[in-house]
Amino acid sequence: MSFKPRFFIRLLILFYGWFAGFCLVNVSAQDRTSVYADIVIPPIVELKVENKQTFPEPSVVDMKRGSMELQNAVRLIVHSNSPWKISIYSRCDNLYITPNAYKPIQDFQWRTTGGTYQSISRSPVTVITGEKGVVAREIFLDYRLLLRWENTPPGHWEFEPIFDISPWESDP
Amino acid sequence: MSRLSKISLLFLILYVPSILSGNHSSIRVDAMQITFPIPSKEDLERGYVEAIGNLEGIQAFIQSQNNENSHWRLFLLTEQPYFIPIQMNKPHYDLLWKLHQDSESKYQPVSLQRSEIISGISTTQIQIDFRLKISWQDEPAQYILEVLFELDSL
Repeated sequence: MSFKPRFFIRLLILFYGWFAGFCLVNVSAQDRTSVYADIVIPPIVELKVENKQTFPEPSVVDMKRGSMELQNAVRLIVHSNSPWKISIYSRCDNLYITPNAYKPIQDFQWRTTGGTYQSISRSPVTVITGEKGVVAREIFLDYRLLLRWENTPPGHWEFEPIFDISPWESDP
Repeated sequence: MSRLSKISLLFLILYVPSILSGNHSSIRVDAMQITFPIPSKEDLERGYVEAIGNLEGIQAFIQSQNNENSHWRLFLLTEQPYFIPIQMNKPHYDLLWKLHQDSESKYQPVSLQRSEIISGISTTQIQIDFRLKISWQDEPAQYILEVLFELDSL
């Protein structure tokens, strides 16, 4: 069998011609560009205070017992995309709105369900903390009012604790 | 030179310049960024936020070159499974898109595979709306996803 270079050259030209035609029919050019989708999500927290209960008028039994209690006095509802904390405090020193009647706000106490009662003060105190990604978490608080004959004069008292929610960073 | 070789040479002369000259279309996008507003509580409760800017989306110009009748197809995709920073695990499919003239129900997630936006045969301008799904589970951060537009010319 002898080597025939002209045959191979012809074959090569033939293939190249076929390939050029093939490309003409099938090749597709592509253009490409890009954009960036960009969003900044800040810490977002929300607190709703619902289901507020009010104390009934104290009775002699309540006075003798030294307190009256309101379970599930308030419901707090939390939404947060970051760690959070709720604080409670008072803006005033006196529970009464009746002139010349005085009852210290320390006689107003609160606790989370199952917790221990503690007195409210003008300084914010942390009620509860929580982690990120909270949707409609419910927290119930009980209220207790300390009653003593010597500092519970007749009159109208009206008091509502202030609740604050804020982003919270847990200790590392 | 044989007849066969002459025919092949004819192919080369006629078609190769045509291929090299580039019978294709080009794309131009009028924004380098799809910007979303800083979400509010209401946005988180609604579950999404829409892009801001000119007409709430981006505009793309597809220009046919050399041949006004060349056929083209425009695709959209991303190559990132997650938004940057990836440790936040915000998936790419939280980003939705639709043609501006389409109804709200036409929003569809950006995919890792190419999704055809539109095809045509002449110079065209289109507008695309973007929407981003957000929730209370999204941690505070700046999220970025690269969106690719690919234009095929046949």
